[in-house]
Amino acid sequence: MTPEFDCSFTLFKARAHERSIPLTAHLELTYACTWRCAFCYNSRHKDIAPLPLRNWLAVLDDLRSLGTLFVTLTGGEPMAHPHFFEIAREVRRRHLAVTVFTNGSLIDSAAADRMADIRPLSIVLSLHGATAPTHDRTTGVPGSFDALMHAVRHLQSRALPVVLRTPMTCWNEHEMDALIALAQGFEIPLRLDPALTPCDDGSRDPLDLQMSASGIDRLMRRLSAIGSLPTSIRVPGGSNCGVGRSTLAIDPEGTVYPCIQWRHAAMGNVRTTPLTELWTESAARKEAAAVALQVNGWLVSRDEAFATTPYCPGEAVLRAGSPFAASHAFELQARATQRLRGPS
Amino acid sequence: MYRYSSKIAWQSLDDEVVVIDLENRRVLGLNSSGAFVWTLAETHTVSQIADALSDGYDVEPSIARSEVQSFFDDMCGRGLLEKIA
Repeated sequence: MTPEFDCSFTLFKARAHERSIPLTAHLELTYACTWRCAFCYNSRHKDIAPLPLRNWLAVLDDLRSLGTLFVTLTGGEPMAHPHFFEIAREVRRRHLAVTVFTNGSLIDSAAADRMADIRPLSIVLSLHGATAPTHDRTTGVPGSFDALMHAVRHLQSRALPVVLRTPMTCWNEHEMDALIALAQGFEIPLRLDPALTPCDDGSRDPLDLQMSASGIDRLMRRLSAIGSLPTSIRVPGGSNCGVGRSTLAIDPEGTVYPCIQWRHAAMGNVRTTPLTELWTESAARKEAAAVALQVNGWLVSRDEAFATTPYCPGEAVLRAGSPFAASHAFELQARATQRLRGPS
Repeated sequence: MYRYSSKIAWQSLDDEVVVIDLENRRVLGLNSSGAFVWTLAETHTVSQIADALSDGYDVEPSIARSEVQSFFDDMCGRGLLEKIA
């Protein structure tokens, strides 16, 4: 009965993938949001037929029995859901780890106390600029930067595990160094993400804000300098990602997808079919898992730059109608990363 | 009786269990017999678990009882389980 630490988890994750256990679930509680981000991938900000609380609780029971360990509550703005804290508590009552993706606009002192009671694995806050003008321009909400800074302080004062995440755009790339300095000032991890994605309805409007080629190059240099170049380890016969195997996503109306980015082929809806049945029976899930294998083979066969750069087939389908369609931004990232790594 | 601490998350897969200590940001892996005992911790007494362990793993009853108690003491010491009665 000797316990083992840390190293066992990598094996656990690999086995979950091999056995098609949905280790991670993204629950989009609501499309409602307090911000109107210029590049938002949600095509609407209102729930037409919100999933009732009892259905969400049944989903949590099914996730527990399916083998899920990580539940991410996202949106929209998940804290705008009327039962956000109740659902988060119920996730924890089932001994699952909860991560919250939030813009922080609804986190005051009282909300931070309630968040502390949940004991989240992490709280990922959206930061869109190092200054109020840049951040607020992106969110479309004057005062959102100051509100976010207050939220960070409320959460930090309770020793909660906060992470900042910044989708890099042509509007904020000039503040890259200041963003890093801001996060360092708070002593909080910062994720700088070079990828924007099309809207869930296929609209490519968000891509108009894609950061420049020189911005991507500079970002990769900065990430390289701190040893954080985004890297995927692919091997022949492996799988590109967890789509259809170790992830799933459920939208605010109960529709289930094999991944939060895989929006073009749903598995079904939990209002009419239990999640356990959808997961085991869905042809859409199995097809997505097969595509992940094919995409891995395609990337490995291209060259080392492609083979080692993170790639999202769901995003490719939304953008180009095929999972085998590298974007210009992906190619720039792959080439820049390869130059920085040097020959293997 | 024991209960799982509110500061953990855990899940089982096949005959193993992974426990995440959310406070100390550590991951604990339990092998087959540890996982067996862990999954029964909230619903069975030490004696019941020891009997089941003895049957399932071909362990002498007295040794099983000692092993189970030692396991629970260890988990409580790590703050992953709490004794409630």
